[in-house]
Amino acid sequence: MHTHTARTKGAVTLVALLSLVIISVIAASVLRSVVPRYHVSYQTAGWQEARLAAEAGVDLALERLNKNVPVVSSTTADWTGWKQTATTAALPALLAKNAATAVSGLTASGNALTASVPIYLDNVDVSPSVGTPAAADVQLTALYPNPDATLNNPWFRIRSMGTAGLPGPARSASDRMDTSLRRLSLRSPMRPALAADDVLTPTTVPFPNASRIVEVLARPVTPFSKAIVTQQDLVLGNSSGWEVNSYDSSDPNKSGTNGVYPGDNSPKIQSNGDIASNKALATTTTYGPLITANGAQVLGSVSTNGGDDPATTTTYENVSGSSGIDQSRIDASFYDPLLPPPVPTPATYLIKPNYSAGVPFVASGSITTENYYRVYANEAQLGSFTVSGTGRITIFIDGDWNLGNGNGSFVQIPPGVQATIYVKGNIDFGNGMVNTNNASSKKPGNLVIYGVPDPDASGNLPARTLSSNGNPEIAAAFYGPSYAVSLKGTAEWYGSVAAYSFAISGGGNGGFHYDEALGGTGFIRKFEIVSCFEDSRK
Amino acid sequence: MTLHPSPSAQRPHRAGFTLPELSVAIAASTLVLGSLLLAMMSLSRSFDATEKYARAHASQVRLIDSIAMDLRRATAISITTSTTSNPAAAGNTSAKFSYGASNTQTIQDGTYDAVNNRIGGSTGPSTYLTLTLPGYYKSNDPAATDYRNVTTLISTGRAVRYGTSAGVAADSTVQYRKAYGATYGTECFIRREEGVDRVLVEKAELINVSIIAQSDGTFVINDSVTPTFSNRRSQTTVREMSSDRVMLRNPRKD
Repeated sequence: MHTHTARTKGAVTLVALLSLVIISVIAASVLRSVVPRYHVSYQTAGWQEARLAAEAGVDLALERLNKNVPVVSSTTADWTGWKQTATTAALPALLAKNAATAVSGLTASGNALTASVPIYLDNVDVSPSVGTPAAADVQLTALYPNPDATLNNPWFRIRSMGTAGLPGPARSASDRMDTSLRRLSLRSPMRPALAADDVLTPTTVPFPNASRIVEVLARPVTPFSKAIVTQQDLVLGNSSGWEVNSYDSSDPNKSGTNGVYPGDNSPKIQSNGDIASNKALATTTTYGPLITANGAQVLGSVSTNGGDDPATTTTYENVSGSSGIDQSRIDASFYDPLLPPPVPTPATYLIKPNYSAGVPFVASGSITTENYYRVYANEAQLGSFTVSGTGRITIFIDGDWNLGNGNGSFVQIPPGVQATIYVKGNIDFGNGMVNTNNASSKKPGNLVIYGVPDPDASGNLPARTLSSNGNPEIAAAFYGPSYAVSLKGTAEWYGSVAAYSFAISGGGNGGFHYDEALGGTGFIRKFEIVSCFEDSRK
Repeated sequence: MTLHPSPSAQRPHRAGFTLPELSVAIAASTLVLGSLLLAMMSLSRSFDATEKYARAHASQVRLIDSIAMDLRRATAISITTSTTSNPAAAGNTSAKFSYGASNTQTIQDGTYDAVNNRIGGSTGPSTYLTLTLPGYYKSNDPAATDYRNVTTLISTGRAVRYGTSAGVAADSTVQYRKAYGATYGTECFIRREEGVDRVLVEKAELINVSIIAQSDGTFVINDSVTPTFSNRRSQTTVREMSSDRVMLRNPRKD
């Protein structure tokens, strides 16, 4: 009986061992099949996270740039967390404010271009709250293309490398095609080719990891990047002969003699007379006109803040009277609110001339210096006037500015003068010649007018107007977020308008002619990305 | 008289198997082993299916990732049709990929018979995707030492661009197409940059890629992949779809 029992136990052990072997073989097969895929999945996810980390670095740089533009903040620039290499000289111009004067440095072998030494955001942690470690290394370099030596508005090159850790052991993907695409760092902290982008302290993300590089170019956006921009209503001339178009006073091929408007029927006319309105309807689910085009011809894009029913792909509810507009250039995705312009605060002002007696204002004589004048509200109202000399001049008008009507109503800005006028009151151009009489430059970039906020005793901003009546001819760039622009008659405007509202009653054979050279004129409102490229070859 | 115990009584008792016992045991073992064998075969097929599924999915993801990376930095997209799968063949026509209306284009090889799921037999033209990438590198010649180096920046009027005194850096062209790869003996998805082919996916007969331009007028691309996996032994089909939505990042207006 004992012997029989012992033999039975042996069979059970054998069966158990056999079962274990079978289960182990199955488990090994499963693991052998699953584990490499598991690693590939994580490596793929890490590779994607590396791009997100790189783009987060770009966002951080862009946020800092936009935070530090003068129109947002007049305080000292805040570059907390950003560094320079120890061997690099200080870069106060870039760090102090974006609208700084150009700094010397690398000069490209192409057209005139100056670049600052870069500043760095080193190993900034961009890890999600749960997940693998990720960091971004960002290099920010100011570029000064200097299309106009007086502007010094910098562009910026932002180069960001994102690195994300990969979970699990350092194993290459089972498929060499994955390895070729993702190029992971499995055995060293970073691929040697990326060392130049791993600035300052070496990456804090342990290997294995994935790194990707994104480079963008950010350009300054000035107030005059479009022909007409409004916060609210935008109403165009109601005659078929009234037209919005563009030309470029800096390009002889796109302008007339001495850079003036080439004429309505000239082949040099361009189609960048873009108009846009920030006005919105009460809800995003209602549709209707936000720009009243009145059948006017618009050689440019027409943009609104909503209003177009996406269910109707061939009609555009957001623009009424759009028969004179290229339908493919109508969109409803615009939103770019107008902020109050920054106003300089000079310590002293020159003694203003007796402009009522025809004595001219005098420009500074140099493009790098400025003559400041001020017309106080309690003084005689400013009407027509002349500027003499060359160089720069800034005039502050605390009250209203009224040119009146007739042959004697004009503003004369001769070539070689850069005039900037800040107005707090209402503006009436009557039927005057604003920078368009024979002695004037006729270039809108030479006369920039800002309508500035003028709060009353209660702190409210009273509505202001810019008006004309008759057949004025205006070559100027106007920026007034609280100004209602109202033109009556056959007005011809060369330049750009950014205002609370814009309306022209009538129009006749007049028109609005955007000077593309204004694209770099004025203060920096913000920076926007114009080029984005992932450097995948390194 | 001496009594002798019978032989059976003299032998110690042994628990042997009788013929019926053996028959039952053999039958039971056969059943168990047979079941085990069937289970192992089923498991093997399952492993095989899982492996193929995983490979197909990895191929999908790799393909999407590669196209998406190029789409993000592209400045122009066009669809080229050809009577052959050779992009350099004469008579190819290329059309700008249009927006503003739902527009779907499928990358396909003219020699792929989608009906019978095999290579050959199709009379349709091949269609491939052509992306224009902005100039960025010093050289687009893979053999050049500057192939991986970023070029300088220059001012061109009111805009900053990549280039040198000789001018703005030349654009490069990337093409995605499906073609028979002799080395692999299967259909492949191929990425061609500046004339150099790189196989992204082999065994691409079962994978389809369609690029969709959205109708909302924005620069949005839908990139979807639909591979079909067939387990012929069990006559089952598994369909896996992956997709990614990509926005073009380079609509330069300056």
